[in-house]
Amino acid sequence: MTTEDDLDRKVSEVLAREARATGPVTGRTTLGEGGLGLTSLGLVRAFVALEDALGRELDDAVILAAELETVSDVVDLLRRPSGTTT
Amino acid sequence: MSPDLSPDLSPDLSPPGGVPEAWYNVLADLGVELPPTRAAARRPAGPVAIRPNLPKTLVRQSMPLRPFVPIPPPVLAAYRQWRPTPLRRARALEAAIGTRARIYYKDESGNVAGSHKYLTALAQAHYYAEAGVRALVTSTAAGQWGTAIAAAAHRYRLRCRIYMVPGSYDRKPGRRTVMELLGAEVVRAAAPPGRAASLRDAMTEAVARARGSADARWLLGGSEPYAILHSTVIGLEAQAQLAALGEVEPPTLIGYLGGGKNLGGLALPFLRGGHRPPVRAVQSAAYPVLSHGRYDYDSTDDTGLSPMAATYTLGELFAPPPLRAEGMRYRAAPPLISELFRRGLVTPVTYGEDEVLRSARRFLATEGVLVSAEAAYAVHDACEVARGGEHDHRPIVFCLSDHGYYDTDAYRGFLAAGAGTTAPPGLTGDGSRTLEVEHDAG
Repeated sequence: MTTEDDLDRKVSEVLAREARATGPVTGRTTLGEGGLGLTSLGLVRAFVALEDALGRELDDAVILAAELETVSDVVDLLRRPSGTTT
Repeated sequence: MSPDLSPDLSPDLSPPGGVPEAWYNVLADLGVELPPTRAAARRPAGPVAIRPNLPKTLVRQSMPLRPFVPIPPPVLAAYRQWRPTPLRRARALEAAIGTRARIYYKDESGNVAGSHKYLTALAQAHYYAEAGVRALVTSTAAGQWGTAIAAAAHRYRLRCRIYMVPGSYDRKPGRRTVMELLGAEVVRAAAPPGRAASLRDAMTEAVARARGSADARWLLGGSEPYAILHSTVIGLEAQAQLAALGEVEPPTLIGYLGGGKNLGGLALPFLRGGHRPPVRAVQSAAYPVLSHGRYDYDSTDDTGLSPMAATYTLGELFAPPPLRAEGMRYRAAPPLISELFRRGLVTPVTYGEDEVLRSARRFLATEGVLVSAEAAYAVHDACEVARGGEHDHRPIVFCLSDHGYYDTDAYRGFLAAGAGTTAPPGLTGDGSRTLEVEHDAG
């Protein structure tokens, strides 16, 4: 079972790794320009890495419907029940 | 039997007389990961939030995860409507040019789009539909991509809007008609003040349209690794067909260099098992991206809004000259083909357009097929390789990627320029077969 704190930490770790970030990553860190510098494609790659890290499949429809600005937005999306397929 | 051709094919990759049930991922097989992308050169106006554009499945297919990716049943069912495509021996062409090489062509023109591009169009439309997208938006120059997307969207009951470069919109009414018959809305891309609209303008308009619609997505997948992966059924089929014909020599493999789908689709499966057959990427002399480009980050399309990828590029300042083969008009090579070139697995060759179209005319006169201006580059290179003498009694395979029956304006321009005022090459010298060709002074 992944606790909320675990989820926050894992999301930050995976996003930092995918973005090759060198500085601290918090919930308020922006995903794109001025923050992690992720592209749209890079963010989808990060979701792939998150699936592997969390051991769960994420729903493409939920991801494609989202507009995400910060690391916290990603965490919130993953907390939604609809963020995961069975 | 050669180990190059069949023994390592698993049953699902070469069902007898059938269609492969998996795509081949060369990145996984070679253990190669492409360099990460970088942020777009231009920034879209509007919010800073990122809106994911691609289904994860397509991203996974661009990663070195599994050498074989099962084809989803709905896509496989669609493929089976026109596949396997024929692998034909060009005997009349061989006779006309006097070669002892064996020239084969994998004919990918026999589908609703008349093009190999339908392979990935079907796959991409399937994955977008699965992800809840309800409308596809794209741009097209010569119209092959647009027709392929229109047909795929129709199959999966998706709305479709296609922005077409004005020149093609006006000169290729056949293409536009077919797209509209398939339910697509075809829009003549707006021309900026003071100049003619280019594919870049059509793309930019398509991107803006998709951004403004919650359930629509712009398809960027003309030269992405997953688009090349979806095309590998071409080579997987060709391997089985060559084996069935008793070919034991590794073939020389030829495709034009555009988005990489016809070249990679045909050639990459032949790299399995560590084999290294000659793979020839045929470039236009006007766009010698592999031979004269530098390896650097550049946009993967002409909008400047897409992520930048490591690629061989002629640079953003390159002034794109006109070319009848619209599908080869880009300043940068596909990232996957660039990586394979860096590793010495692809050899670029370069030709001018007039000599290429003369070979296409010879192919029409001998084999009875009018190829697209893009496929003409592969036809010409096959003739040049065959004539060289080094391939006597050996197989050469090129990808006949698209037919040219909607694109006769390219050949009309060729004739009008005076390059086609004589009989088709290959038939001269045989007076009984010499054709009379009208000169179009227009």
